[in-house]
Amino acid sequence: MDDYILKVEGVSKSFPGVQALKDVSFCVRRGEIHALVGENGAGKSTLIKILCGVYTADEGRVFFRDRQLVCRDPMDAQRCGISVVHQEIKLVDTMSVMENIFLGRPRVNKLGLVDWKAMRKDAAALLESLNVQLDPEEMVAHLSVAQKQIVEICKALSYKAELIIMDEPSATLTEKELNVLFEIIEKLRADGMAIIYISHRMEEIFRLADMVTVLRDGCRIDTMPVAKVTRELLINLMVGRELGMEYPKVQAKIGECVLRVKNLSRGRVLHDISFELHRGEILGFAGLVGAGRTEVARAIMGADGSVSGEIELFGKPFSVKNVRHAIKNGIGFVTEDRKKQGLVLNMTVAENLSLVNMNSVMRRGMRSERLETQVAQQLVDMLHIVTPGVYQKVANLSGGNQQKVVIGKWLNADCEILIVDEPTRGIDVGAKAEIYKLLCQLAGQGKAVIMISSDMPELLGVCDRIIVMHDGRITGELGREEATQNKIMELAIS
Amino acid sequence: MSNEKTAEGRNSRKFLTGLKRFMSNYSIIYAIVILCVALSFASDKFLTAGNIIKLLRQVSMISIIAVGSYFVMVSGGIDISTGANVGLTSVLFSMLMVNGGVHPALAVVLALCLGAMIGMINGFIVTRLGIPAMIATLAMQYVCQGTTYVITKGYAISGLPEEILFLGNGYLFGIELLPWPVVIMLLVVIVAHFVSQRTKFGRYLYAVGGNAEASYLSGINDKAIQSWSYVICGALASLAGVILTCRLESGQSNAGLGWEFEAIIGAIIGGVSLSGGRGRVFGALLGAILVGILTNGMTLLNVDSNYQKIVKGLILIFAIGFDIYNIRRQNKK
Repeated sequence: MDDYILKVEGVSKSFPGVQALKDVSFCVRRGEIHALVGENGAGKSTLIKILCGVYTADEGRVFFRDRQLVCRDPMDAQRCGISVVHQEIKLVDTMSVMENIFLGRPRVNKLGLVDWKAMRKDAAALLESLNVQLDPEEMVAHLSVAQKQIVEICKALSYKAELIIMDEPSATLTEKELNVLFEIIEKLRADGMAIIYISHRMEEIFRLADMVTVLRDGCRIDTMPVAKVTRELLINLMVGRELGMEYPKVQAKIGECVLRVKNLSRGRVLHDISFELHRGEILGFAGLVGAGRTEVARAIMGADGSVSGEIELFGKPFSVKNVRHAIKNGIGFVTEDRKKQGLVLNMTVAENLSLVNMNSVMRRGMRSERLETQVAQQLVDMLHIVTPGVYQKVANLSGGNQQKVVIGKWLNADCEILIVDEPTRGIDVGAKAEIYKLLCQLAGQGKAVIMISSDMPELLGVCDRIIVMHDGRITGELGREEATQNKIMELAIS
Repeated sequence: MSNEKTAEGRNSRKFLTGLKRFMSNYSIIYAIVILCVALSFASDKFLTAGNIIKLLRQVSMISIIAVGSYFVMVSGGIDISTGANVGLTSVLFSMLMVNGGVHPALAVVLALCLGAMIGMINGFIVTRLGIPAMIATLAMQYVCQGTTYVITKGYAISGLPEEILFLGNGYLFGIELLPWPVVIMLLVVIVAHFVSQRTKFGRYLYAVGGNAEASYLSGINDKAIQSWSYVICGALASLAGVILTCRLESGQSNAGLGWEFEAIIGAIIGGVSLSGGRGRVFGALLGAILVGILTNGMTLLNVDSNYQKIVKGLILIFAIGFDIYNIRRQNKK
């Protein structure tokens, strides 16, 4: 007899323009640690959000304890017995451990007042059950990340959870803290708790999990016992697809070195980053989300204040002061989040296009509307931006066209080095191809491009070299010929 | 001949579309017209030359502050220390001339510098110390008010030199329709409009107010832009203070009391958004005029000043609600 506590049957979910999940089914038993793996954007987060009531599935059903699960929100899911421990900890820092555990439903006595004694006793009992030494009255702000995670787990237990979903709980933990967390997770399993464990780290999956389900492009690829898979097989399943798209790669002439970075470090985020960038080159930065790729770009742009290490720009030492300084010296940065960091949404296309280089639209110290229209129209034509006019608000444009506006404003600044961070995220295939073509053209004109992307096929298709990062370090560099998805993945999770 | 006709037709059509765009940008004009018509029926004093001139003079000072508030609000902040700034300016400006014997022209310059400095401190507290604008400028309001009373102990400072009083009471070329305060206000509005629409600073102002992070990552010094907006606002508040002092012919410690509120309601009604990045100088001006007409009308109709406060408070809430509704509607699109 199977002892499934959770059965997911044929769940599909789509968002405008994206099919996030396609007919996904899998089951989780009591007392099982079930790992969920997949690339960025494979659909893990969507699946979890459906399980905990943030999203509703378009199709398919979820059974929990043999009853169909209908949750309207995370509170509902918690009441049913499903709790999520998020990667980013969601505790109130200024409250004590026990207040956090019973947040929103404090123990009360007959008079309706908070019963601190009972709360403390219950909290202590929960902590005890996990063999953790922690004072229930300690303020959460004073705890380490690992301890906070334990409080999160206690909170889940206090809801009498029977299924705990852990979303990359290990991402920010040290080795030692990790061991403590693992002991707790194993203890929960021994007590019959079902656990869905999401992680990018292979070692953890092989150490902890009983079963593993692989998601890719919103589909469930396979579910199998961990004992029966190898690391290579798992990576293969995660990566899977062949290069299906056309990449208009034109090999440009590689020229002299324009940017040399030596031992760049910043706090706990970046360690010893060294690389070179040449004219005519598109240098890819691969790695998982949080590996530190964006941070490298921001460090070169001077966006985050002090960093240690040396940067050489066009053969001369360059000590970047701030973003303006970097732009003046010919570096451009197409940011990752176009709505938050790239565009001023209530401004027009023309206004956004001239934002980095206002001088291009100034005449005798005054902004010239005619010049502005002209400059904008040229860029709109060159980039094939689909808009009713240059005086349309960018907020009204589609994602792909917005992205082209962001790139356009940097082209207008005429940078020698262009850093593009996730340039094709959330845009349609046609716009993607145009952006690839454009990047290759830039390289052809002797400019240098750094392309940060989580989309491996596009890195493989467009880049001359690919640097792979993990945990703030460079873990490897692959030439165009030798690079494969599997090799990148191997380096990205090592 | 037929050619001439079509050209004429094209011109008038161009004029009409321009007018249409202007009216849809500043739909507040309708409200002003309706209010004026209503008031002229309600009170036979409203449409008299004397009242109109008085109204314009009163409005001119609030409008100048509203333009200052416009700069701060477009860059994403707010300044509620302007009223207190007017009071402090009034007192120090008078003392410079009466007690210090400073030449009136120099005193005007020093007064504007004082306002700019208050703005600079506001800007520093908001951008460098990261204290919310509302609280920082509220604190500044207290500091200015306190300083004013400490200096004067509540007494007025009279005996201002005659030659400066024209700023409050005089007329340009002696023409009754051109009181100096109104002329100064128009100059401020025109320059401010030019700065906001035609200079780099103006564009950066909107960019920072619309999205500070994107502006920063585009190489704009967002903090400097915001700081400058406070400096401009402070200087304009002082300018209003100078005009008011000349009009009252004395330095008064309670001068400008509550003006920050009138200026901000004016700006908001005129379409300057509390959340930054939206609004125009003419909007702020028209909003301030609307508030001025309303105040004038209520006073003519003998509405108690406390009731006037209630009305203005409700209008502010309504205007902000409308602003938020507009932004939500735009975001949904």
